[in-house]
Amino acid sequence: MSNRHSSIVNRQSDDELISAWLDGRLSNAERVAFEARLRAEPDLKRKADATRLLVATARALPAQPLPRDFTIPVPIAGAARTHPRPPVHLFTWFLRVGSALAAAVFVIAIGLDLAGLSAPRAQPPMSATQAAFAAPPMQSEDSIAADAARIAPAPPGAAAPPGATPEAQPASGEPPMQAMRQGAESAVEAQPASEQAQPMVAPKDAPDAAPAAMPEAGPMQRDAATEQIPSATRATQAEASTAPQSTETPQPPDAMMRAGERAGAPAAQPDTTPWWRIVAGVALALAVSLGVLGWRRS
Amino acid sequence: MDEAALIKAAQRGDAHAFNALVLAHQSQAYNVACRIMGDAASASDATQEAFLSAYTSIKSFRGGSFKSWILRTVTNACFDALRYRKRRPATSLDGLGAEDDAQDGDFETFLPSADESPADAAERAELRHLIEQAALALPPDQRATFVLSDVQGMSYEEIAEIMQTSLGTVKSRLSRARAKLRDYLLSRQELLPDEFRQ
Repeated sequence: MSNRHSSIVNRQSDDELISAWLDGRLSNAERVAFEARLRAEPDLKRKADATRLLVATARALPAQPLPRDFTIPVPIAGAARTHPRPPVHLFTWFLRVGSALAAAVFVIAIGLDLAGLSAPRAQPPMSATQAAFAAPPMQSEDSIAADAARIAPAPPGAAAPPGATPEAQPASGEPPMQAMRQGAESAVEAQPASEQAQPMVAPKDAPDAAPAAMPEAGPMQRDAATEQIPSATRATQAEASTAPQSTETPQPPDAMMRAGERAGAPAAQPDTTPWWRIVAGVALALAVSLGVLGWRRS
Repeated sequence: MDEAALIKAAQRGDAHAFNALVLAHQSQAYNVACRIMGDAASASDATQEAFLSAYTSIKSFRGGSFKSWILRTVTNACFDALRYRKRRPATSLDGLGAEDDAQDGDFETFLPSADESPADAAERAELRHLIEQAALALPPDQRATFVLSDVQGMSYEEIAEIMQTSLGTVKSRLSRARAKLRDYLLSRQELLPDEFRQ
């Protein structure tokens, strides 16, 4: 393989040497060395002689007679000079200008988007439907807890931290709280990732803020909570004898609702696209389509 | 009027001045086109196209050799025509009888000179025809380099300017073209002088 490659390289090198020798492009030293090779290598001399014959014959080729005159008629020359290129049609200009304007609108809209109009907006107020949807479970659970407290009044001297909410109160009442937290977490996971979802995760480590997550609780949470009601009731009954004052601090339903409104995370609220993004999309489509049309016409 | 004045007048739109330049260079331009294209009709079309193109773009001529500039236009027109021909191959009816016409028009070349026999003259004419046909089988860039160098007798520098390439490329293309044609000739030893026959 390498022998063949070196043979090709030597052959090309010999051809270039022959060509340069015939055209007088070799230096004196190169010419002397090459002519010495010619005397020593008959095959190289035969190639050089054949190339010299080729060049001599080519240079002696007769000139072809002109078939006609190639001068340019003056009227044609004037026409070619006065109309070097066809005029651009008015509609083509309209397409070009329209494409440029649409591109400018697209850039402006993108600039508005990047300038901060897409920054976190104020929370929209909870709609009446959402409020109505969020309120009932709070009332029902609260009333259930109140009913449980009424059914089994706790004896005085029960060890319960002051200010504890009915939901957080049962010492062994982890199941209902866990169920609510699990429900809230599942609701958080079901929502699209957004900044509105953040307050829902925080109450997990802050029991005081637990009611704040309740308005967002979905049907699953309500189901889980209601399934835990009997055990909660039992636990409350068991605890009632040791913590009678716990029933003194239940939050009223309207307070719970206000807390829910403060935390207000509309899980089911439709995600509205900002107007400038719609404008940007339309402008981009217009710029591309008009540009392609203008380019094809031109 | 010298060439520089004609060029300036043509750049101002003087068609007569441009035609004077055409008259000065049309023979060489047509011969280059003829050797590259291989037939008279295509060469005529390419030459006319090149002169029209030169007329519309003569304002872009920034000095230097006008001959090189016009021959560059001609070679470009020939390459365009060859590319078009390659995409859409067709048989031209203009070629019918062209051999007879060429022999008629080229009859003087078959006449023996005083120092060669009629047999040698016929052999020489056959060799020319063989080289012309073999040159048409070369790649276009090698063919144009061979025509400009060995048929038109231009220097490497002029060829590099016409073809807008480097001197090294010109040398390489020329040596390859000559080697291919030489090997072809050596394979047809019956047309070569006695010293080449083995």
